[in-house]
Amino acid sequence: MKTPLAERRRAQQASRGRHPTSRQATTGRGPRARRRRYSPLFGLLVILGFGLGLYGLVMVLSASSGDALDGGDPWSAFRRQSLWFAAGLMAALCTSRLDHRLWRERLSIPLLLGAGAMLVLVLVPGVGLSVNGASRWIGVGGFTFQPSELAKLALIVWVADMATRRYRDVTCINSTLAPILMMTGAFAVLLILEPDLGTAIVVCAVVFVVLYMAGAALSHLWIMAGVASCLALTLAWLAPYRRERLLAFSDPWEDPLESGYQTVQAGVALANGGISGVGLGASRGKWGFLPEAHTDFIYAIIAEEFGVIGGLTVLGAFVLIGAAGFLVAHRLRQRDPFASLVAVGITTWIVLQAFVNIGAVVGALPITGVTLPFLSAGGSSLVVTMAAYGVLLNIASHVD
Amino acid sequence: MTVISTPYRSRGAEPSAPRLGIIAVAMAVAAALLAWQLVDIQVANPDRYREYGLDQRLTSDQIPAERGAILDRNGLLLAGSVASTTITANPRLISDPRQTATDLAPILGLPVAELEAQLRRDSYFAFLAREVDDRVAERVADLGIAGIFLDEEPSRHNPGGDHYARAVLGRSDLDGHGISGLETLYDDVLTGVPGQNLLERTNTGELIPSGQQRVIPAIAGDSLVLTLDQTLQYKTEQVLVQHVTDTGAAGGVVVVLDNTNGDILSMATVSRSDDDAVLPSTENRAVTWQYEPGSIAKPLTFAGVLEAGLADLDSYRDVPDSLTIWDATFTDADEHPIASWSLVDILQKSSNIGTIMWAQQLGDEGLYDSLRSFGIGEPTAVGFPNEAPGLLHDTDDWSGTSLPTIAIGQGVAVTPLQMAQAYATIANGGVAAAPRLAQGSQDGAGNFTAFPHPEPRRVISESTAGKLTEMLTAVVAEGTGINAAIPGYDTAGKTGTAWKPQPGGGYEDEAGERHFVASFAGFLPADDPAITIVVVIDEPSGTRESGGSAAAPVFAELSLYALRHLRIPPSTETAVSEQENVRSESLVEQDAAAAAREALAAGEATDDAADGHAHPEAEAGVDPADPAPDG
Repeated sequence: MKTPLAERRRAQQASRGRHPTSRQATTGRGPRARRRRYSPLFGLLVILGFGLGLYGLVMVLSASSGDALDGGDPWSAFRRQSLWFAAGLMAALCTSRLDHRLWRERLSIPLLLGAGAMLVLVLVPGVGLSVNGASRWIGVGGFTFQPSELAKLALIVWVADMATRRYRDVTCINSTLAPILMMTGAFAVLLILEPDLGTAIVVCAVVFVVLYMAGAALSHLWIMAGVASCLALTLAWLAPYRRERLLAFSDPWEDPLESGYQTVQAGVALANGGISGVGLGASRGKWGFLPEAHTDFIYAIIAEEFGVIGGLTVLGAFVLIGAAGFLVAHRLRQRDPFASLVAVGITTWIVLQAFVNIGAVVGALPITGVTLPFLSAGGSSLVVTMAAYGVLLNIASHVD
Repeated sequence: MTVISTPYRSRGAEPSAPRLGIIAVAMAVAAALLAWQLVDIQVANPDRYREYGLDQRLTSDQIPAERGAILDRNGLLLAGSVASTTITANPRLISDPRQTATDLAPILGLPVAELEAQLRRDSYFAFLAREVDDRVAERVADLGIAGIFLDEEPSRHNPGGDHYARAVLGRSDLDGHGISGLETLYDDVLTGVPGQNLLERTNTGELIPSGQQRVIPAIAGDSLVLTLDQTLQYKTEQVLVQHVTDTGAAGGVVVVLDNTNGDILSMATVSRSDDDAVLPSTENRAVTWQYEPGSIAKPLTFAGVLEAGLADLDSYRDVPDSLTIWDATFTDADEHPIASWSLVDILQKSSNIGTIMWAQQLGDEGLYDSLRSFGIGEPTAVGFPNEAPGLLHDTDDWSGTSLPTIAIGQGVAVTPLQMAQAYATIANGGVAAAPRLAQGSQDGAGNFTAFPHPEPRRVISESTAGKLTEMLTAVVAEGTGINAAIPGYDTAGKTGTAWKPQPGGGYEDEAGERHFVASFAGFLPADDPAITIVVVIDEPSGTRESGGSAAAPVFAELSLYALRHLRIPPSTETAVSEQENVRSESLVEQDAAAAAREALAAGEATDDAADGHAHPEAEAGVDPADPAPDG
């Protein structure tokens, strides 16, 4: 029952990077068939991502009102975040419409090289902006860009490509594991040099999960995990401020004014929120008590203003993203292993980073300074996260 | 099922489903752990964090409690709190301290440099001017400078003026704490419980916009109800100021007591300042000044004699005009041949020798006990701040001349209030009602709570008191106290002209001059005494330096006024017509005072017996050239 019109539309869709589902391809039924039928997973991911982003906008506005204390403009963080959010939406729109195969065909290597170059650039004094002793940003004409975010996306795509292209060899050290580990190690070293151990750990963990999913040998994985953990612990122990954070995490009350300050203040905000919260805008912690209230610790403000209900809701949203992302990967694992692995990688990235951030806020993990995806104020990380999310959406759109 | 056509289509097994499951389970476990931790802090065990947070952001601003009022015996206001304005600043908000200081200085009347220093303080709060008046506050408000605040603060106001009764009422400081007088004695009654304004603040001290405010209202202090009579107090001060001015005295003290219950109706101290202004003093010398009373203490000696049954009113004895005891010679004020005088005669003439002879019969212990029983040598029940106990040595410490000296009121020190208390005891039929200034407290709802007051205590028998009253009435009727007499009422009282001990020891100053303290103590109406008055004039000058001439007229003027003010009817038949005349002339009380002055003029014409003096230690006060005539 194919009509020329339907043929043409399919051709158009294909040229735009769209792929009609098999059902549509075989059973296009007049006007209704003009709209693609997306899987509920796609809809769920769209709603979750968009919802979290919007909610992040509101919470950034609320959490940054403490800026007014120093005579700052209470709207400035919100204005910047709105612009970045708009940019992020554009990016997500683009990536969600871009055929994800393009990533492995055309973009994988340039992206990897670009991200690697920027990670090197950020270490160059004068180019990299140093904030609080860490060079994590590249400044270009008033705008700042955090290359570590881009590095995550680049690495995920590249590793997924490597793992699927040479699937048989994923258990082979020479052909697959060695380049992957070397590239990941190089990125990790660059990140640690910034220094940004938190992101390095997240990157390594994401690569680890992708390799695991790709079918790497358990023995290799155990060795990798063991070596990486030892390295991370050693690094954490060598830098005094990291060691302090580690110790403070074990007992923040030991020194609630210095090393345990952020953890205790986050706890104060959480405890103040109680079950239903103090209400939007009514957080006390943001008034100079909780540092980085609108960035690293925005989750504490959320849980203070909306209580354990709000806190669990946000946590639940990330769990849902995880579940949806993994389901997408599950559905596509036979049809498109690359897409499946990319979905696993992006999902793991977002969820893991959220958990690491939330874990620090609730005192379950040491403070590493990673942001809460979609919610924390921070321009480039939001844009890149949303762009990566767009890739996930594009992959999800192929799920039946 | 069509799959996506791709040149890189995987050539083998796809990503592992079990591994995906393991990852998903791991994620779920991690999420559960985070949720557990979140619930633990937010719901299960939030207390430690919550309290720590409250501790770091909750501040408490004190709301001053209004200080209780001080009321007279009729509920009239003597001292009260009114709202006033205090100018404060938050130096952190002042952009231009110099300009601000320059603007404020002329309004507040403070030096620019001082204000600027306050405005440059590294703090969030500075007082600029406290409890300014409304016009100043208004002008400051008109400037509208950011960072300058006008705070309401209660300030103490005495409607009678700054001088009125100030020695008794005392003062409270800017923070509402009593610092002198009754303000400090009853500070715990008058002071309220400050309220609290609990506010949430940021770590830099700003108010948190969404923060909660909890106000614990201040509880105003209770009012203090005094025994003072507002009008009588005013009149007492007025008369005393006038009289001290007229006599050129250094100062004066008056105590007016209701002898039936010990209520102090008025209590005034007046002093002459260095620039010769005579004003009510800040020191309540009625209780803080112990002085040698002289002859007004003689009735206490006779109280002992009568109480011991050694003599009666008609007991006569031969009295010479001088007597040498050990190394001291005592004299009467005027030379006279040996005369046979009764007790009444001796007191009427204020004979030192007669008094000493009876005291010798009474003995050391008897005299000591008599004075002591009247409360000499210990503070009164008033318990006024810095109240002096008086001085009466134990008999063990007495020398051979102590008895004759103390018998005539030298070598013993009393406060005017102690004298008033002793005379009130005689007036009250021998029963001492402890003097008091405050009756009780009154809370905001008007409920009155009386302060505990000691039970009246019998000091001498009713008959002894009656006999003493008779003797004292004779003193005023025909003796040295004639100037204290007023029409219509019989007055019982005694004059005293005592030497003032000098700083170097003895009674003579560097120039060899003696200084006197003139006093008059008495009560009236004599047949049913209602009020007891003690007048002490410190160092009266010129011809009016005796108790009879310097103190008795004040007694007369005040007693007449007080009796009319308290509506105490005249007692003697003869006086009724005079009293009626006065009343018909005018109902205004000033006219009663005028009548009293007329009576005084008449009294001054009468010759007065002289008051005597004696010297306790040195070569005895026996200089016949030492004149101290009454009148």
